[in-house]
Amino acid sequence: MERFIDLALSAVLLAGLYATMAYGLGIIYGVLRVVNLAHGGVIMMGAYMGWVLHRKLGVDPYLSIPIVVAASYLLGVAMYRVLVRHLPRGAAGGPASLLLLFGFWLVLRNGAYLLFTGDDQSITTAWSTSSVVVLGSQLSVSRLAVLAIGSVIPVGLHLFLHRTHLGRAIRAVAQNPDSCTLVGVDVERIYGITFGIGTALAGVAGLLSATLFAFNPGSGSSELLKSFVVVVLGGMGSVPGTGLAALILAVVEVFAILVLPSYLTSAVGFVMLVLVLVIRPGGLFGHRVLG
Amino acid sequence: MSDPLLQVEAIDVAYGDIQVLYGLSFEVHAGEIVTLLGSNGAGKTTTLRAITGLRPPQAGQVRFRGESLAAVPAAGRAGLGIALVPEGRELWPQLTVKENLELGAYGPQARPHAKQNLEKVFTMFPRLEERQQQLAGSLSGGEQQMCAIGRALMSEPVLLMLDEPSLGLAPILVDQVMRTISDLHATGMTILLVEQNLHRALEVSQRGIVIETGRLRLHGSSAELAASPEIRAAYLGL
Repeated sequence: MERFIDLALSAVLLAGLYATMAYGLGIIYGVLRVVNLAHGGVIMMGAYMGWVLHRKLGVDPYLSIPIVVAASYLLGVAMYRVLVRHLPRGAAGGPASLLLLFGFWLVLRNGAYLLFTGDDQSITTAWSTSSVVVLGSQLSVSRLAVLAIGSVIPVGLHLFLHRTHLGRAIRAVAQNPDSCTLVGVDVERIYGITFGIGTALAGVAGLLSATLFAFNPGSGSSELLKSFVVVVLGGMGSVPGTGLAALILAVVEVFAILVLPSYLTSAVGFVMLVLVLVIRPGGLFGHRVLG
Repeated sequence: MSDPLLQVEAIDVAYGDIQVLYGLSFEVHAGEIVTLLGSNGAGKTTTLRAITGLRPPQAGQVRFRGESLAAVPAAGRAGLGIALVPEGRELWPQLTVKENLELGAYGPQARPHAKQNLEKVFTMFPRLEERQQQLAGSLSGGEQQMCAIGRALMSEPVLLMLDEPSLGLAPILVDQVMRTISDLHATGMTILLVEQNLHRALEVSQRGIVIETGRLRLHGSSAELAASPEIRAAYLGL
């Protein structure tokens, strides 16, 4: 029973991180119909940004969140303006944007090898090793912090998309861009902002993950794939659906430890992805475009 | 007569290799209600898209209040007072009715008056007020058309263009849409209408412009066009 509570709690804690990663991929796909294959690269960059700020400038990783958000947002806007804007979209543009963004990921990765070498790094602070007791389980403070931030982000994102003019315009662009142009929405600007929001979420996810796990310039692939699983499970673009899907993936992965050898647990998510695509291609909660 | 509100000057529009409009020219004066007529594929929708900037002309230009729109991006034209109710409504199906209407007033000129204009739209279409929290995609065809017209009105247009507003509607709803268009015209709004239902279109409008395979075929008062043997044979089936 104690072990069950332990596992359930660590699944919940992991879900916040998965959700944050997946929102970044999901919002870009939902609005631009572009799969951001550089997502893993931006996650890795977010980790290094936090690491540099902490290591060289002594900034606490949680205090560096606004800096990482701002820097990743600007990177995303630049990626859109310089690269993505010029590509064909939708089904026809698939291969071109996949290749280009994959290429951009390789550039980020090799840039990181050049700057930081291939050594594993992690962000460890004074409180990294401290823990509190919840329901009789030892929980590390950093995991709780990641959960707290990972829960605030979706609520904030949901409120932004539903309560602000800009957020409504983003949802409207996802559903019918021409109608947006007709009412005076600058659709290109919305695309740039959305790409920026998506990469900002990826950057934060990278920073949060760096406070829990070791990383190196090659990191990001499994994060990208997990984001995929969550976005597909959640039905592209639904904020609550994505949150729930993140929880499902985390629970399944964590509990798989009980029955599977550890090297197989990360395959569990992909089995789920395949099953969902075959059985319910619209996602577990039905296909919704930023509804 | 004063300067025309809208001048379409010799525009050519092509989709890739397929040219749709060939040197099309016509004018609409302030306060007029004009119908654009023509068979399927004649280029009526393309003409409206050229005026809105969604499909800029390759040659020729569109002037609004005497100023060329060539340098005005499509998203800037709502702010000048140009609104289109597109064919097939083109609402945002997973946004609520109220959100659809509010986004109609997205531009900086219209946004400060969004509240009053929303009241006006609700007065005009009480059904929309009842259903304001419903998703637009769940509305009936007639309600969606009201929502699309309401959304265009939220931008406080000077020139309101409607593309096939009666398409797919039951006859009683067609009556209502046509009455709405007449009422809007009576408030002083300039209207450019594209309509399949020629009887009804010529009833509400003052003038008609007939285009055929992307070229101006003839134009005249609605009475003249309704009486023209050519029109009667080609479009009215008489």
